[in-house]
Formats: sequence, structure tokens, C-alpha cells
Amino acid sequence: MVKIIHYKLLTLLFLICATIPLGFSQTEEQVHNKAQDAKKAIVHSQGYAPKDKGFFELYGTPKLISSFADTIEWLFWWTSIVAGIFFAIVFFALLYFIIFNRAKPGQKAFYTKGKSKGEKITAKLLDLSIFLALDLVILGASFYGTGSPIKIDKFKDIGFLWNMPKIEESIQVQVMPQQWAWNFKYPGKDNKFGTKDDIFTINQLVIPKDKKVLIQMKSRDVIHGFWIPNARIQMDALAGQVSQFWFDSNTTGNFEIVCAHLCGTSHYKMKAFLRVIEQEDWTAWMNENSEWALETYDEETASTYWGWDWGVKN
Amino acid sequence: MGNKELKYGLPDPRDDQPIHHESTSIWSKYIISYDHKMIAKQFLLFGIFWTFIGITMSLMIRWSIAFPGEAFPILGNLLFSDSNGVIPPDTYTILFTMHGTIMIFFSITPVLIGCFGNYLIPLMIGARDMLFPWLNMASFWLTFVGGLVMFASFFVPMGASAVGWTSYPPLASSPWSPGLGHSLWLVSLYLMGTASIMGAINYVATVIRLRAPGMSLWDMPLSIWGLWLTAILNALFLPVLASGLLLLLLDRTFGTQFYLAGAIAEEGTMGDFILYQHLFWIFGHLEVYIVILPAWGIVSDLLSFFSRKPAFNAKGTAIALTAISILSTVVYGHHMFTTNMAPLLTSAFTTLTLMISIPSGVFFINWLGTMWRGQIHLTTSMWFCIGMVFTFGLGGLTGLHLAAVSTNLMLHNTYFVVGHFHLTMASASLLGTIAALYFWFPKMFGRFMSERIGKVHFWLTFPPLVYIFCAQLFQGYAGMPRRYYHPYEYEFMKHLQGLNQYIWIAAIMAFLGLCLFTYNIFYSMYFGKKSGANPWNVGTLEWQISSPPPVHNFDVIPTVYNGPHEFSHPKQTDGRDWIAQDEYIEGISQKVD
Repeated sequence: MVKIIHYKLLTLLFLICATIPLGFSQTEEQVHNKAQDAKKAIVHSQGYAPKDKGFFELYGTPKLISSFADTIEWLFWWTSIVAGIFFAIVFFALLYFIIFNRAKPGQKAFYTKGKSKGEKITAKLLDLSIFLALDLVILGASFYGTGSPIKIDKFKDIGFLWNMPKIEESIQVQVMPQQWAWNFKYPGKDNKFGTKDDIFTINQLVIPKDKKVLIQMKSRDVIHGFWIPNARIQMDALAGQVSQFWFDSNTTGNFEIVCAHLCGTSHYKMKAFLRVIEQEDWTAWMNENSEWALETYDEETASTYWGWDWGVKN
Repeated sequence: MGNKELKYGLPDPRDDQPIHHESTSIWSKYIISYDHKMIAKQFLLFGIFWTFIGITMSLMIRWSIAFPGEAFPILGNLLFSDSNGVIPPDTYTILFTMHGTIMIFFSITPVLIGCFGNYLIPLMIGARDMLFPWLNMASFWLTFVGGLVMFASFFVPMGASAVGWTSYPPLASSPWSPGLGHSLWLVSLYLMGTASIMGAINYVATVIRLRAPGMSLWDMPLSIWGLWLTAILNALFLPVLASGLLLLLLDRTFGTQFYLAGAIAEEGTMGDFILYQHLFWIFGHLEVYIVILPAWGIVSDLLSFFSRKPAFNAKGTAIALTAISILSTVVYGHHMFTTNMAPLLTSAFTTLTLMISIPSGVFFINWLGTMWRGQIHLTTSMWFCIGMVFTFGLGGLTGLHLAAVSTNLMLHNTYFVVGHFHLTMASASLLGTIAALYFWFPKMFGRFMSERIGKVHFWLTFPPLVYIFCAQLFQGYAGMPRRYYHPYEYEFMKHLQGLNQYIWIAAIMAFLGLCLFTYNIFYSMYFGKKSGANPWNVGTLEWQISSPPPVHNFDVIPTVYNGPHEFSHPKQTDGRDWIAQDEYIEGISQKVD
């Protein structure tokens, strides 16, 4: 009796784990709140995916906004599903052996050391299949456009990490995090850093829709992790050296920026907002703030206007 | 055979190991003991003590994520009386830092490497003791001092270390974490590291030097392969960690600037804290393999023992273990993808990390191949082995997401990472360790552990572990960063609280399992069912002597004629289904010159 219970429990466990995503389903209240939010349009966060956006987004993974996020997402799910198939093979093999290969009195096991031709070929084919289905695809995906011989069209955007946009086709922002806030700096109307019309904001990053944002970061104190879950990009801000990356957004709205790297006791409170607005709204915002910055510029306190020369690295 | 020169021009191990008699005083028998079996038991007790502290911390962490702002049950008012039993954020930071440190360096390492390394290596290779018994004793007592220092660090002003177990400067430098706590943390780990190096040198030398005559490397049980490779990695790479920690300690106490950069550093004397990350992860990533290699080896052996079948392609498993040990030294960069690493390096580290999947695949094929057409005995030990294969499957495969730089950037520092490494280096090595304890307990104490309690223990431990860490994988995908005191202040994480409450329930179940397990250990130590010398009918050398073995292990140093996994040999006619490594059977065994 006990013996039967064991593998039933094992199967049950497998099924329970398969239902973990259900833990993400939202409460009535959250759904209601979201409807309220939608009415208030731009002011509220769009961190969640709306209900009509497909199975996995339903469970509340952050809505994708950047142009490369889809590709990363695809790679994530390719890896997950193929890995899942391999895991299912392991699981069902284990289950089969537990049920059907139980010791019977007086019987001897099949004597083999895995050295016969059939066994060797099967083992090698299985291992090769892992290499082909997972490693090679991930490699091909990761290195598209870097001279890699493996090219899958799906991944032509994934070289985002090192294919920095040109200055002309992007906007530039300097970021200086500190314990525990995010400082942002825009070049202002003249498009140059270090001039009197530079705009400074705290915990609010305003960017235009569909425009690449080139970011340079330098920490004021310890390492901070600049992470926009919706854009699927994360980069550390280091002290004493500049790190650079880019992202963009194809959706307007408010999103949260998270500090991903432990930076002290109030690490969890280090929140900033990403506000994505239409291109013309952004130009207006930028002009207004830039003029205001010019008006309020105070020569005496110039040292508080932090920043560094842009000097693009790549 | 006399003084015949054997391989490598070394003298015969049989001439080199005199029989020591058991010491009679309590001091030299139980405390400053040179006997590897007693040292192993000391490590076991040390590990169990710290495991309880580490696991209790993890419960506190789980509680404050599941029910933020509510008093921790039972212990809360005792420990956190200033905040009415609620765990405050600074204590929370200490908790996850010390949970990581304790579980890795004071729980898994002492039990898996300290206890089983010490116990199994001499017995399984047919030696009377370690090659350097004094070093072995010193290794344990240095570990013990390291433990004392770590324990003391809880009681200094401003509390214990609170910078994460990775201890990244500049946060770990004195301007941002003042106080004695983190310095003591560094001293403690430095002592632990030194102790581990002493142990590791001993293991490596013992395996090379004291193998019984006739035992080639391929005749070693795979457990010894795992422990040996672990010891090699420890001996080679712990010094790297130690140097990294020492530089940080100098920064903190003597005002050097190895890791200080930016505004805090004096002009022209800037250090580089990325250097610390390199030094740390060269060892830190290896640590993952250090704690899993012995578990792989042990499980490879136990699956064969309980399937009554030779280990499928045992030589292949040994080669895969070696290959993974070599590969593991050059993949650490995937921990640093977000430090604005150069594209050439990210591509190189991605490629190398993905290569790990090839030898890992060999393990699974060989484990399943071992069980295929076997006669499987589902003892508690076997159940834990199966659990290990299961959790390592999940953990290993989720490593692929973190290996590729593009998916790593979205998962870095999230609960996906937490789930992944808890499935591999925590669950898998823990389940492997428990399997080993259920299996070798009769040898250590001459008594069985209760199988009935053991089965309950398994079903209280394994499903919750899988549930907790799989749920964490999903949370990480949903964007929950690790080390967050109150994630629900963020809009996109609000809906994750329910799942965290389920995790709390599962964590309590696993904790009950641990309590039951500890009860089982101490109860069975004195009142368990008596086992004979060889209760599992296994052919490796340690089972051919009495349980528990005498101080000198072997009256006569055995000569090895067979591999460690000779089961169900078709030519064997005496009714048994196993062959001892040191018995000579005409037509089956290999001749030894």
C-alpha cells in the first residue's frame, strides 16, 4: 500500500508544480483597481499586462515595452520549453523505473556497464540533442550580428547589448544613483551636457515613445542596479566608471524603475518612475524645463550640478 | 608483497600505515581526536547546529516577505522586542546575508565535505586514516574557531554583516558598513577558508597516496571521485577567495584603498571594486560545483547500489565530473554580465557556461541508464537520490536562462536566480547529503536510521523544496528582485504576495521535516535497529569491515580486484548479487600483480 502511495505522490507533486502560475491570478480588487487606473490614463502605472494579452502575461509578468523585449522573451520561452521537454523525459523515466523496475525477489538486474554499441549511441545522441536544441540555439540567438556563423532571423535585434544607437537617432540621459534615490540629467535644448540649460530630475525619467534612449550611469556611492522590468534590461551603476546601455519604449505610460543590486538597508525603497510620453509632448516638456533651468541657473551653486562629459565610449 | 615499488615510484601503502590503538582518555578520543571517523562526526554535529540557525533565518526571511509588518510567530517578541516582534529592515538585511553565509560555509560544506569527505575517503580507498591526521584535526578546530567568530559577530554593536553573502565593495567597505560585524565576517570566512584548504590538501594527498593496492583511479567509487575533485578545486581556488577577502579586510581595518573608487577615494589612488567581483566569483562560482560534485558522486554510487546494477558508464561519469571541474573554473563571468562587461567577454562566458550542459547531460543519461532494467529498492536513501536527480534537473536546466547574456540581463538579481541556485546547490546537494547520511549511518553508528520516519521526512522535505524554488523561478520571471524587504510597495509585484504566503506554508513543512530528521539522527544513534557489517549488501571496501569500524579501519589493508559497482554479475553463482571489491572470484575479477 505504502509503495503505491509513493509514486502517486510524486505524480501529484509534478502536477502541483505545474500549477504554480495560478498563484499569480489577481484578486477582484486588483482587477477593479486596474480598471480605475485605466480611466486615469497616463498618471497610473501600466506595470501589469491587461487581461487580453495572452496566457502568460495574464499572470502578471511585467508588460513588455522595449523593441528588443519580444526577442528576449522568445528566447526565454524557447529555453524554458525545450528545457521543460528534457526535464519531462527525466521525470517520466524516473517514474517509469520506480513503478516498473521495482526489485522482485529472486530476480537479478540486467548486467550492463553501458559499453554496448546501442547504449553508447543512444547516450551520445541524447547528449548531442541537448547541445543542438539548447546550446546552439541560445548561442545563435545571443551572438547574432557579431560574426557568428549561426544566424536565426528571429534574433536580429538581440545584439542590442553592444549595438549602441547613434547619437543623432537617440536621446541621451545621464544617471547618477545614490543611497537611495535616482538622479537623472538631460542635455536640455542645446543637446549638450555641461551647459546651463541642463535639466535635473530626481526619481523621474521622462522619455519620448519610440525613440532610443542612450544612458550613461555612474554611481555616487555604492553599486546600484538600474533595472526596468518592463524593458527587460538591467545594468549596474558603478562608482568611478561610466556604464552605458540603451533601451526604448513603444508604449506610453508610467512604469517602475527598480534598484536590482543590494545597496544598503533601504535598498527596497529605491524606486523611480519611467514616464513614456508622445514625441511632441516630450519636446514640449523638454523645452519648458530647459528654459526654466536656464532661468534658475545659479552660478554660485554650480558644483551641485553633477555630471560628466558625454564622450561616447564605443 | 614487501617493499615493492608501485606506481608513481611511491612505496607500497601497506608498509606506510601502522595500526594505532584506540585512545582511552575522553580528551583525545572525542575532542582532540586524530581519528578521521571521529572528526567526521564532529563535523556532522557542527553542521547540524548551524543548519538549524541558518534554516530558522530563512523562515524569518520567508515570513517577512509573506506577511510584511506582522510579528514573527513565537520567536518574534523574544528577538525583536523593540519592534513588537516585526522583523525590521536592517535585521532583514542581516538575516539574508547570514542565511547565505551559514548555509554555504557552515552547513553544507562541513556536512558534505567535512563529514562525508573525512568519513568516506579513507574507508572507501582502503586506508587506515588520512595521510595527515594532525592536519585533519587542526582543520576541524580551525573551522570551529571560524564558527565561534561568526557567532560572536551577531553580538557586536551595529550587528552582524549586512551586505549580502557576496560582500561586494564598496557597500562592504567601511564607509558604508561601519562596525565590527563585517570585519568579523571576513575573519571568520578567512579562517574557514584556511581550514578548508588544510582539509582539501589532506583529501587530495590521501586519495593519491593511500589507495589500496590494485585500486586504479577508475576503480574508485564515484563518491570518492566527487570528493577528490572537490578537494582539488578547494585547494586551488580557496586561496583566491582568501586573497580577495584579505584585501577587503585591509581596506576596512588599515585604510588601504584596494577596492575604493569614485568620490570616496583620494585623488590618484583609486582602487577597483570590480577586481573584488572577479576574485570573489572565481571562487564563488566554483563553490556551486564544490558543494554539488560530492553529491553527484554519491548519488551516482547510491543509484547503482539500490538498483543492484553496475553504474552505467561509470568511467564516463568520472570523466564528466572531471570535465565539469575544469570547465567550472572558466565560467564565473556570468555573475558579472551587468557590470558593463565587454561584448567579447560576455560572448566567451556565455559560450563556456553553456558548455557545462554537455557533461551535465552525461550525468542524467548515466543516472537513468543505471536505473534502467535494474532491481530498484526504494529505501529512504534511494528516495532522496531520486529527489536529487529531480531537483538538479530543474535547477540545472534553469541555469541555461542565466548563462545566455540576453536573458541573464532580465533575470539578474531576481528571484529566478534565487530559485535556480537553491534548486542546485541547496536542494540538490542537501538531498544528496541526506541520502548519504541515511545510507552510511549504519556504518557510522552501527544502527539503522528509522525508515518509517525517513519516508515521512522525505515527503515533508522534497515536495516543499520543489514547490518553494519553482515558485521563486516564476516570481523572478515576474520581476521580483531578491533582497527586498517589502516588494509590494511596487505596483508590478503586488500580486505576488499570495504566492509568497503559499511558500511560507511549504517552508514550515520543510522545517518540520528537518526537525523530524534531526530527531531521527539522535534517536537512531542510540536506539536504532542494529545493522550488521554490510546491511545494504554492497561491495565497496567500507562495508567489508565491522560497523562501526575499529580505529584502524582495516586489520589487513585490502587488495582490490573488482570495481565498486559489481552487481548482478551473470557469471556469479553463489546466490549473492554483489561482489566485494577485495574478493577474488575466478573468471570475474581482474588480476593484480
